[in-house]
Parts: sequence; C-alpha cells; structure tokens
Amino acid sequence: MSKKTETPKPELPNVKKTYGKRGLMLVIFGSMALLGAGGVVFYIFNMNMIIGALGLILVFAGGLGFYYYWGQSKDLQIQYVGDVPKEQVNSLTLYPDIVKFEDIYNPGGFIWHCINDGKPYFVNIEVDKKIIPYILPDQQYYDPNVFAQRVLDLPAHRALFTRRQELFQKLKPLIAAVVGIGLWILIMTTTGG
Amino acid sequence: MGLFVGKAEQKTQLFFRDDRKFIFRKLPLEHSCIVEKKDGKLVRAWKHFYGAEIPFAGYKNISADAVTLGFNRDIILDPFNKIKVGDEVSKKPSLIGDSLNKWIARIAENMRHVYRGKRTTRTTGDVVTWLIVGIDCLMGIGWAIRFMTG
Repeated sequence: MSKKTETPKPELPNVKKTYGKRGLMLVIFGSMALLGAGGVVFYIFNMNMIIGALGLILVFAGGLGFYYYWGQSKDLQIQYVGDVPKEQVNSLTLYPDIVKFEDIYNPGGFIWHCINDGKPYFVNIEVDKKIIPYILPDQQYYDPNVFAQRVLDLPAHRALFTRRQELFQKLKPLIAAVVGIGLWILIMTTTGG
Repeated sequence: MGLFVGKAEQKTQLFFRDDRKFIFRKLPLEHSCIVEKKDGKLVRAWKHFYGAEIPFAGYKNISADAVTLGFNRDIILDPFNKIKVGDEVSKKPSLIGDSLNKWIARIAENMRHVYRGKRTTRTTGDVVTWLIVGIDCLMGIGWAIRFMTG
C-alpha cells in the first residue's frame, strides 16, 4: 500500500496590517447626524428654534461627513511584508526588484533625510551587482510642473467646455435662501418661535 | 460620483527632492499620471508606468507597497531602464529626434478626448442650492406638523 504523500502547504507572506480612522469617523459623523435628528424632532414638538437650528446643522454636517467617509476606500494598510528591520538602519537601497531599508557597511555618497521618519540615510543603487551611491539624473524629458499645467490640464481647451451658467442658475442659491428666510418668518409669526 | 469628487486610485511614490530629502508619499493616479494637486488644480505630474513599479517591504511607519520613483525635475525616473522606448504613450520617448514632442502631443490629444467627454454637468452652486432646499423642506415640514397639531 502506497503511503499518501502530503504536499507542503505554501507559506503565506508575513504580513502586518493596520486599520485607519475610517470606521471611527463614520461612528462620529453618524452619531452627530442622529443627535441632530433628535434636535429636529425636539423642535417639531417644542418649537425651540435654537435646538431646531442646531439640529439641522448637525444633521447636515454629520450627514455630509458620513457620506464622505462612506465613499472612502477602506483604509486597511499593509504595514510591512516579510522580515523588515525593526531597528534603525543606515541606508535606503534601490535594487531592480526591491526597494529596502538596510544596513550597508562603508556606505558612500551624501546623506539624505527621510521626511517620513526624519532620520538621515545613505541612498544607494545596485548597478552591475555593485552598490553605489545614488545620484539623481538631470532633466531629460519634461518638467513635472509644465507637464501638469500645460499638457494634462489643457487650460485653453477646458475653457471651451466649461458650463456657462444662465442668470437663473446663478440666482438659484439666493432664491432658495430667500424662501428659507420667508419660512422662518412664517414660523416665527404663526407659532411664536 | 456624489457631492464630492470620487477619490482617485492612489499610488505610492518614492520622491527625491533637490534638497537631499526623500519621502514615501501616496498621490492620486489620474490619466496614467501620478498627480499633485493644490485646491483641486493640477500642480505637478509624473508619468506612471506599471512596469516601473518596484516592491517595497515597508519600514517603521511607511506602509509596504509597490513604489515608483520620482524626482523634482523630470516626469520620468527610470534608473533600471525597465520601460521600453517608443513613441506610444505606454512607453517612454526616445531622446533622439522629435520622439518626445510626438509623445507629449499624444498625451495632450488623449486629454482633449477626456475633457470633451466629461463636460461639467453640476456646479458648486447646484450643490449649495440643494442643501438650502433640503433645509427649507425640513423647516416647512416641521412648521406644517406644528401648525396642524397645535
């Protein structure tokens, strides 16, 4: 009888994940909106204008915040993969197949500062299996500023396709605000606020 | 798309500044470019190539991700020559002849088609109007309930 051979289970990469603030913000803004809704209900039965106005503001602010964070991607982040150095190292090295922080003996070149952690590092690159100090090239192609504002943004072309508003469209927010003020006066005069 | 502009896909860029500082930062990826914006306007952009992404395993508070290299003075940084050379938008232009001009013209032409098909239909004024109308409706409902019951 042949013994069943077991194939080794492939190992998953050693991954550490961290969760962001999205859930917390959803709870905060959701609570704010609910609290505001309570204020509006209180206003309906007691006609307390201050509580009512505060409730409306909270409903809209909370609702907008909730809507915004609901639309955000779930900010689960992969903090690190594999074995990364837990202590301070002296270099950032660019390899063709990986970028990593590591200790290099007798590093050369200038010191760079990493803005993420505020620490100094040597920056090296692997060229022909040798680690050498990394030097930025001069411009060869196009300036990022000009590329963004002239090539990608195409201001003249976009101006042709910008929606032109008519007078009524421009006045719509004002008309809505005047209706709101009229309603408020109506409320004050018919219910006594 | 809602009241807010949808959040674009983000990419991690290892960005080298001219003052010998570097940063791992997440920036939106729009129209095949990693873009830097200020007040909603494009300020700087770097051409993004998936073939130029290099894995980064993470370190301290910097998340692991596939990173692309970038620097202050140019839109392409490819020290390992991973991107093929050609006039197509998916390749990097040759530095000989007018390849760069043709490449830039192709990107601009693409953008023209994008903007032509994406004519603005809603303005900030529309959003403000709908917010105020919402408040008006709530006030009106409250008043009506109170007026009829009391």
